[in-house]
Amino acid sequence: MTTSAIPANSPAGTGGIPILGASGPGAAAAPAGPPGLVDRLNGLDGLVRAGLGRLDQPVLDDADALLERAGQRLRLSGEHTVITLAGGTGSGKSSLFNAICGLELSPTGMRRPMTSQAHACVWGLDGAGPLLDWLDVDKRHRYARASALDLQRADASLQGLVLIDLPDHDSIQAMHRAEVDRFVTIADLLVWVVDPQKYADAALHRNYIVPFARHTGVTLIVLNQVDRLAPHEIDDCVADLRRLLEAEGLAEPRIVTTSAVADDGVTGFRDVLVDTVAARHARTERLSADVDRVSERFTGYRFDAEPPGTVDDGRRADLIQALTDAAGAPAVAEAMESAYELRAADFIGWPVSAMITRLRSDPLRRMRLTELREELRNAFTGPIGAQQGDVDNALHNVTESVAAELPPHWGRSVRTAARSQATEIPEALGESLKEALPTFNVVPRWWWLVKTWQYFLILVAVLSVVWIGFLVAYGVLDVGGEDPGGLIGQAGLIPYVAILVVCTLGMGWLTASACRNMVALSSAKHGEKMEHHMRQGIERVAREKVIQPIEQDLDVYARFRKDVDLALGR
Amino acid sequence: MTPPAEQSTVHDEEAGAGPGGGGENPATGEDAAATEASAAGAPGEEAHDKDTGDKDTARKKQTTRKGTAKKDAVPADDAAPDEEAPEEGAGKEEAAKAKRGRRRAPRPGATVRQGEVVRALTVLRDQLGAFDLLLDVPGVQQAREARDELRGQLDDYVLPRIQAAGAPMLVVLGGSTGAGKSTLVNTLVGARVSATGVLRPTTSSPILVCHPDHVRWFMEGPMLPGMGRVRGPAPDAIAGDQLVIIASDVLPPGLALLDSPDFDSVFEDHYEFATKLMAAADLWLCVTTAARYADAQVWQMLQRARENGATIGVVLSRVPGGAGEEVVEHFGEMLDEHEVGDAHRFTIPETRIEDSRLPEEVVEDIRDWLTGVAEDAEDREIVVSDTLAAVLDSYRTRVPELARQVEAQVEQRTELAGQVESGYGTALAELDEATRNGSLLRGEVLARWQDFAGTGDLLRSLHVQRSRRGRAANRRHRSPARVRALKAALRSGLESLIMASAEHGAEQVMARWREHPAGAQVIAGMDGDLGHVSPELSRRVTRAVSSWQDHVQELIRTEGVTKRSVAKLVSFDHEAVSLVLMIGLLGYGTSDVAVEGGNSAVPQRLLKALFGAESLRGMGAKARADLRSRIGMLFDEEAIRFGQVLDAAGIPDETVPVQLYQATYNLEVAR
Repeated sequence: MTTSAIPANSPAGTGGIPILGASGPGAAAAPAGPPGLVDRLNGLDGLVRAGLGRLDQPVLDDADALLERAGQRLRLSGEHTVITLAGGTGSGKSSLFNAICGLELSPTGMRRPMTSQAHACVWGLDGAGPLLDWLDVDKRHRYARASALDLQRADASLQGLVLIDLPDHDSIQAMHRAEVDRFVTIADLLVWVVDPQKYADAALHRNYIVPFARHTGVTLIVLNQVDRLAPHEIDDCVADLRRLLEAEGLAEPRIVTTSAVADDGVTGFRDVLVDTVAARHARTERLSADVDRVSERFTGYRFDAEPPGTVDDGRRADLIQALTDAAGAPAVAEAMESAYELRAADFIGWPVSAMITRLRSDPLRRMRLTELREELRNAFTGPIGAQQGDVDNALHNVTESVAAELPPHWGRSVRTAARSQATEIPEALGESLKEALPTFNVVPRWWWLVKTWQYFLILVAVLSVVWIGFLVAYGVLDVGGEDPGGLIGQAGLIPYVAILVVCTLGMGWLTASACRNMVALSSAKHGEKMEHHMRQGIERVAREKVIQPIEQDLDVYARFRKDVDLALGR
Repeated sequence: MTPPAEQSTVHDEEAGAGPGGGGENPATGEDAAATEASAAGAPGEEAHDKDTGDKDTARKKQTTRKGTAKKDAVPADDAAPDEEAPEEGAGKEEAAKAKRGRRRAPRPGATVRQGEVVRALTVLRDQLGAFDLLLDVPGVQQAREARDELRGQLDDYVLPRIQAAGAPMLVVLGGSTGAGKSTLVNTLVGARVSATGVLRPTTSSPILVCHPDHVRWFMEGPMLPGMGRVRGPAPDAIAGDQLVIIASDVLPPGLALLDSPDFDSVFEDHYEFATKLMAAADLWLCVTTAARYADAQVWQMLQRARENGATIGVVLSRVPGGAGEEVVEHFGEMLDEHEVGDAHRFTIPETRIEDSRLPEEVVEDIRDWLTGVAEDAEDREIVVSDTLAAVLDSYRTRVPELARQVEAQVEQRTELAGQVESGYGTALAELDEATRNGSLLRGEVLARWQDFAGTGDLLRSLHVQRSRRGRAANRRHRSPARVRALKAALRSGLESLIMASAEHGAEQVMARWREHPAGAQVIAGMDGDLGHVSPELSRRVTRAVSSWQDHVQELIRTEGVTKRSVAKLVSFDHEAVSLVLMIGLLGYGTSDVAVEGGNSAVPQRLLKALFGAESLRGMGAKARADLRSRIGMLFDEEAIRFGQVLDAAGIPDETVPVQLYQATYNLEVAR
């Protein structure tokens, strides 16, 4: 940007011209006073920077152009005051110019339009060269009234004046208008020369007076050729002109009457010039008026109401809830619980019932898709991402409510900021969910114990069955003849062993169902814990990817509001 | 309407054996030409009878030349209208007589043609009023002005003039503020009828001065119907759009002077009046001064007058002594340069003004010329009809030019409509992609699917045929919970995807419109906020998605012909299998079975095993097409809102320019 182009204090330092409240220790020491031009320009620069990509480009371009112009003008001679004579064709700008200069420098005549290029006359040449270069006045049309001889005369009082005679703005030569437009944007004091015949021309009022209505302080209206009016008509005419200007928004317009042909006809005008040049603040005043005008256009981009600095808790909670839904956290938890229980069943389930289930007819087997069963068992791959649509809607809801409190342009900016990372959010959510998973992947030690216990019971059952077999074989059927004796041979033991078998089987089944209940309990507990973890992860994602960008943007807006005040000089 | 009838009678007699032109105004010049032609022995009568638009330009030139000849040729006729003139305002008897006269000697061709021209012009006027030039395209301001001017001119001047051929010639004085228009009028009239002074602008309401006989016609007549009338003298206290009419004996009958407001002062309504009155003038007298003859505004107005077909006179006033010659010369050069060199030129030197009047001798030229033209009925008719013909000629270029501007508007409208289409098109394409690339199989949907598939509920929904009945009751209470959850998750996932896409589409359209200059204007003009989806969309989406799910289920039921080998063994739950199909369709992006192995193909493999590849492919395609058409319909409804905004904004559609061209063509044919 152009801030760097604005010298903080060089004009004030070298030129000795007081810039209102120029930045520096002095300005800091006296914060009560209104901000100075440089501060206001800095404020404007802040506005441009904040507005880039957010506000309407033409407004920013205007502000940028002003910053550049102001920077250039402030660096150039503060000793000189640039005053332009502009007006309609035939109003006598050149005659007036010549009358002030005291020489026939600019051609005058009857043909219209007469002057086609800007002429400049400088009183006091020191430092005026770069200024005239910047003003882009043709070298052939530069004149100086700086010689000692001249200064002997009354011209000394005009020391520091750069008087520019402009072409007309209303003739058929379009080029002239462009030249006038260029000069009126850079002059320190605008002098509009009108005559009794043309003072109400729309071309002047609509194109120049009204757009520059804010510049009343650096505008002077000269009613020329008053010699064509009778004395009593002059007052009528001036009153009518004043009424017209006031109606157009010029507060207390300065009007001077002149006549280039009468003796002393330009004295009044000359006095105004002398005063202006001596005061030497036309330059800052002019730029201040420009800053006023440009800054005011920025006020439309802010609301008076204090903006929200942060995303409040309610909205934050809503956002987190919406993102939780988008990631499907409860569903993920439920699925994980199912997986947990399924896995647990491998350990604690009663193998006997599992065996029985497997014996049932399996549709998959009939469809020759048995491997699908395994694949389906492995379906629990854990959470992947989140629904982009849900995420978008969640972002939409939170930004809408925030943006509703902001001016449209800033609302859009917040929306853009919130969405800047929208496509990364599903991934990030998925990651944060995954981090919460490990709580589920542990295999508690007691599962092994139970598993062992179950297999022990099975072993007992099997052994008991074998025992029964032996008992039947030896005790009842007397296989092998001789009585093996002991535990194998006594047929009377069979009922007891059978009871033992039934008991072990029953105990296994009981253990399984008891453990299932315990697993269900712990899985619910794990589920809750996991949801809590997931929520924390989601909160982190929401903070990083959504809330922070929004709050940064709100910050920019808050600074923008302050800068508007600064640029407006409040 | 007395004068025209009267006048036409006169002309009928006068023209004698003249061909079909009759006494009606546009044909008068033709009459003269025809008479001339007959006199010269040229047998061109029939040809003239059929004379149409394409000969107009030629005719115009002819008239100018021959008018002068005629003046010498038939001096006796001059007296006729003048003698009749005093009777013009006399009243109904005269009117009746005129009507009888016309009835006695009917000129069917002429009346019909006049009627046609009037009809064509009326149609044109109505069409000019039937559209708005709303959008700010380059040149629209001029087009708006041109449109208003055309309409105004048709109402104020062309229609009244065609229907009232004999009315006095209206000379309008226009010019810069402070140029001395009022002073000139006062001098010509010989009395202070219009206020003068040093304050600018002086004249605020137009003042019309005419012979006492015409006052009634101007008071009640059809000219300038939009303006109120005030009987003068009341020059100062009149506000706004009142036409002050003042009678003066000094003016000859057949001449009316109109002092119009300036066209370059700060008051915009003055400019409007000035242009309006300029368009209504038979003769436009442009008054400017030596100090401001190079003003851009003067030349713009002259240019405009020339393009609009006005007959122009130029007065350069307040020419100082001494160097004045140089100015006059330069002014002359500039006139030639701007192609208005053939205008009559007058010069008034800077003199003392006494009693708001110039010395008589300085305006002698102007007075002679004006009275000369006005008093000579033929000359007057020539000027009047020349102007009218030129004005009508100018429509040949002005209306099509306007139509081109309208076309520019239509084009903008088309662009905006195209942006709506492409905005939603992009959204739809993105949505389509999202339902293919598996992005839907995330988050909740994925979790529910895993839950459903992994816990074996999916497999349990497949039943071995014979064991079905026995265990049905046992299972019913568990599986639907997961099936329902998956179905709901799928529905809400799809819903939010559609909602987000619709939202995105609306935003995109708004963003594009905002960047488009015309779009920005439309946005500024609309009351609602279209940047978001319509409030009822969410309900519609819910309905659409659930009815799609029903549709898929129905599809499974009716079209999912189970492979015969499988059907013998396995039956399945329609709801659960339809969910598998949806997951396969939306989550894995394809209903094709070509995917090799891997987890991703689980639904496909299962479905293929159930239905066979052929049947599965058919169902997949149908289900997808159905979903697309449902979403397409939803989006169309969303997009319609933008179309409605465009309609409500009042941007002309493509029929308007066509109608304008047609009206121009009809006018040419009617002439």
